[in-house]
Amino acid sequence: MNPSQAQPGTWADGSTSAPLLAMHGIRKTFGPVVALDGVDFTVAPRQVHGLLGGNGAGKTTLMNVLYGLYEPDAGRIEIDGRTVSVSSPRDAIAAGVGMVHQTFLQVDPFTVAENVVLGTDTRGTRPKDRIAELSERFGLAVDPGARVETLPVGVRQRVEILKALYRGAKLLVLDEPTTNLTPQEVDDLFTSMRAIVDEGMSVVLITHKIRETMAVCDAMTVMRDGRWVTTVDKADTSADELAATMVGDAARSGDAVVRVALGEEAAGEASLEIPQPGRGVRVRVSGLTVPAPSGPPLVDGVELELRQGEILAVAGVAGNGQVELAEALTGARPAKGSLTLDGAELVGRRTAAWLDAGVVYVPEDRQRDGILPGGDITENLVLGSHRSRARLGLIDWRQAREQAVRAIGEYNVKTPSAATACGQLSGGNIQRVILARAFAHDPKLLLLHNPTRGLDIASTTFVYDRIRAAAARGCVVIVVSEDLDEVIALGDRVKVVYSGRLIGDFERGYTDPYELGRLMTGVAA
Amino acid sequence: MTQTLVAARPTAQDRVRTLLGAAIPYVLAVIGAFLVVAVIVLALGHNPLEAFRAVLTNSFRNETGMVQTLKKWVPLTLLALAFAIPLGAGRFNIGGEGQLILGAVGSVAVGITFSELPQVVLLPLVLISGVLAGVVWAGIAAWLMAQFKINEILSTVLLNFVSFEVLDYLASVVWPDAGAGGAVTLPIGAGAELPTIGRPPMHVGVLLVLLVSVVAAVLARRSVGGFELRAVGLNERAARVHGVRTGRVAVVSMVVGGALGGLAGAIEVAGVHHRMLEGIQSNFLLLGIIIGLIARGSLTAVPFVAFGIAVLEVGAGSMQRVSGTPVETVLILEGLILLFLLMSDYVTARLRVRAARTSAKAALA
Amino acid sequence: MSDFLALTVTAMVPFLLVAQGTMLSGRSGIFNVSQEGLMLLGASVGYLVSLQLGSNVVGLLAAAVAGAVFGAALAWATTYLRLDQFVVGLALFFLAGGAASLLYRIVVGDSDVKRIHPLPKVLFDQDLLVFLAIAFSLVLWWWLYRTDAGMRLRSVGENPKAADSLGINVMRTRMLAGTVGAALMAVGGAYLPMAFAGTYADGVVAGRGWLAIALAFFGGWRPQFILLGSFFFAAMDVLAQRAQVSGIGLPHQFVSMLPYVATLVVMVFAFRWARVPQFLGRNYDRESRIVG
Repeated sequence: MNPSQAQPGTWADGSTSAPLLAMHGIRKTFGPVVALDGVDFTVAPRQVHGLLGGNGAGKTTLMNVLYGLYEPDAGRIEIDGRTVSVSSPRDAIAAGVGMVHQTFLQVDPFTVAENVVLGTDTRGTRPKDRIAELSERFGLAVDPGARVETLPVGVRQRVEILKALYRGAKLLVLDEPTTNLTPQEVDDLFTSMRAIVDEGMSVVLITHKIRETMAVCDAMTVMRDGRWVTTVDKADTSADELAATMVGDAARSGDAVVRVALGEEAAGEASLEIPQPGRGVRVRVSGLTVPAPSGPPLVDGVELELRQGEILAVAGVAGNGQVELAEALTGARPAKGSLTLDGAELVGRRTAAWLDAGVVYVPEDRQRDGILPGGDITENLVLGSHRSRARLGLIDWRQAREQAVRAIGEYNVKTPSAATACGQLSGGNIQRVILARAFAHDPKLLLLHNPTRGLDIASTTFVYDRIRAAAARGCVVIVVSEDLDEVIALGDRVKVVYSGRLIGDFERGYTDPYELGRLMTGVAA
Repeated sequence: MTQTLVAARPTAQDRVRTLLGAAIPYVLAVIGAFLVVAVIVLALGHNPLEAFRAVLTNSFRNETGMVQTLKKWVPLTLLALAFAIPLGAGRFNIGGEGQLILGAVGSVAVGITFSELPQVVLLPLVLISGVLAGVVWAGIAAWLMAQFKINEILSTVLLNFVSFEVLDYLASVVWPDAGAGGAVTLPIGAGAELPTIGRPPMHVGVLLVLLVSVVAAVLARRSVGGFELRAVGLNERAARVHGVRTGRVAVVSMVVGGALGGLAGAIEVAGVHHRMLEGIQSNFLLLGIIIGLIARGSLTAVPFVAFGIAVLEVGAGSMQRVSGTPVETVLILEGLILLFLLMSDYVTARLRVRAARTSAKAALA
Repeated sequence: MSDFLALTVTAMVPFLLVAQGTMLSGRSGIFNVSQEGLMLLGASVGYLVSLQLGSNVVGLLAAAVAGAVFGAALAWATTYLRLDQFVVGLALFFLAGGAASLLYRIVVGDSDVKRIHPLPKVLFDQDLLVFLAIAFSLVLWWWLYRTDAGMRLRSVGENPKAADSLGINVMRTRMLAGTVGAALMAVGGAYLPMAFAGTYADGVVAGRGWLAIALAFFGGWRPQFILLGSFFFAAMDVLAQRAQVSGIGLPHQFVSMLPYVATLVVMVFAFRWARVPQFLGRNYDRESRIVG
């Protein structure tokens, strides 16, 4: 696996200097999951290098290894030709690496200046002067005396960059920096990046947004499924080519799950008829918006009309507002605009009202949002419907337990009894419990976010069957998924979420994964 | 596809086994605490066996001991519940003694003002006013918490201090008993006194509190409110996503705590002292908190733990008389029990993780 | 008037020291709730050592050490074992309180109650500890906001993940802050027999420990406002005692209520300003270091 160079030591632009950063054979596993599979990554000096990839590509993991947040299982890191050992962010900083994460590591009540100098020894230095100087040189306008919690995202990001520059970073890594920036702020950021590179440093830009990559990067590396795929110079490629490389081979044969989902293989106890959606519109969404404390809205004016029994699949790279969209569509988060289910307006009403109206939300983070880990299966099945099932304010636990036993059987939950604590079940079984709860009361609108993440084939098939069965009964289903195969296989209609907006509209059978890829990466917008 | 029927609940055998399994670390913790205290007692030059026998058996030696113990058990159980219920929603109600005092204030106010009324009217009135006064007092803290996000530890503590002044005012200015030394109110009317049973007399407040404990435990298990409280305590985020109004649960839990504290005050007035006096709150608050913590959030366990603590507290004096061991040793014992229980949870969790890891390794091998 | 001031300034010292100790510990994220117990322990140890060795200063130091031991235990249990801060704090409260009474009983027992010498007056008829406490508060104010070390402490209590990522040793910071904070609480307790009662008794603390927690909140967890708040509290206290004696129109109980009610009222209007360290009461899990 070598970067595309003409000869070793020579870069495509003809320069022959040693790379600023060279990572060799980095391997990282989390239990059975291989996050990085022997990845090489090289960055030349004075270069803006884009690190591209979709969901689960491993790009953030790779940079976290570089920054000392993860210890790799194998591999070597060289900076300026010298091998360095990085076991904590402190080592990385000392080696000249600075990283700006997606969630800023800032102390809210501190000022800009305090955040920048935190952890350094300020005796004998004049921090305010140095910050002003860096600010000026790299076009990162900040007010050193302002408290960061009062600042908009764009400015807080500049503070993060200044933190790295203040500590003498030679290599600056930016992880999805443009997620919550306005177009103007993005331009300012790119200008600063060029200024940084002109001064002799290099920048690694982790992103899934191809248009931005083409705008500012000198070279780009594409990763997929924890592996290096290719490294090219901007001059030698195009946006469409990059999109195709990133998305890879979606919907190509060879994947058992996809075959099952497309009905090419019979599996398990399921019926794989793809039901036709009915004619009547059940769900109308208009102008659904979730404002952000500062910057562009998290969910931006979503419009939808969904028919009875229709499955809408929403694709997108993580971080484009999926969670906020899912929560807004199910009443778990307050939003503006309108959403009517069978004619009844739900926006503005309490979450419990949405649940009573037949809206069910299967969240992505099962442990955090989906279950009571310390509660047993029976209790978890009761959660959400505990009020409506109660007589005179009391819950009939005997009945609940009987229903739990039936549900465990029906949904094949592997557990010794209904009294086992949910937190002790495996991921697949937790999802089965959540689905059992979701379907127990005949939902009218069902939204699932990444429903098969981390599940084995049997559980995945199970989930698809249940989704189809619900649609067959007339339920409106929305599946928000970062798995492109899943989206294409499940959706009667497919849309893409990008920066909080829903774009594109594809019918089943007419979905082109490459077109999806272009929408997901902002190429065709 | 055949499959074995999954049990709704574990079999009785399994339940007993898990109960024992869970109880063993706790029993070990308590024994550990006693062992450490035994060492301390020895170091002080006294006989630990004598001391322990005295402190543990005093309550059971005769009726007087039992009555004393039960009289202590009443406010301890109520204040422990008053702390444990809000704790279920993640809130700290430190205002138990203020709520008790206000409950006493309410009771005394009614008991003195309407002292002529017959018992069938006056007694319930007295108890209810005590409960309502506690509700109001806790309600202030709950309101400050909900509206202004004022930390409830802060507000309940401050309200405790205010309650002392209220007590002092009533006992020294409004209804002072000139004959008694110190801040004591006039006695309540005879109709306000709780009837007693047995010899030596034990006020029926004990039965009332027994009922309250049972009701509390049942509601915690069976009612919608109890379930929501448990859900909020287990995972507030997931509870909210599923429609539980977590803010309201927190407020209601504080108010219920206040009601129980108020009831404690009412019973102290109606059953024990028949008046309100300075110091009526004794050390019930702190002991109540410790009982609530030892019970690890289980409302069913609270009355039992409260009984244990009551035995220790009542036995402390006897222990000092018989073996010479200072009464303060009991405080140390109680603190150690709490600490060791906490550590036993930690150790059990670590052992479980290690066991899971070894079994996972074995499975892969 | 100067009499009033003098009384207030003396009365202020225990509040001040214990509240600053609470703040210091809290700024690292450790919410110590064992103040009452630590004050009792400090009072007992301070009194007994003073009595036996004839030196108040040694008594104060001994109290500080006793407090430090408990503080270190709390810090260790919450930082390394990640046990619940509130529960451990209360357990230590009991242990410290029990130990305090026990020690007194062992050393003095039933013999006649002996008074120790009060601390010698230094200036304006006030003893050294008064000046030290005030000076210390001002030094704390400067140290917390104007030095690198102070900034590091504050960052640990607000966002330990950020602090950790910048190389700050979160565990060590918490251990130090928790230990020193508790030592201050014990010294605050030791002042009680030395400046007021002259002896130790079980009721010597009388709830001041809980009030110190209130003061920490009231002062927005900032040393300069805690200084002002302590003064305010003590002034109200003295005022109430005066009212009790001189018999003004209003029943003295209402005057006594004033500091507590006033605190609540102030909190209501200033609740936006009164900022609590974001990580107060929470334990930091270094394992979950993954960002983004």
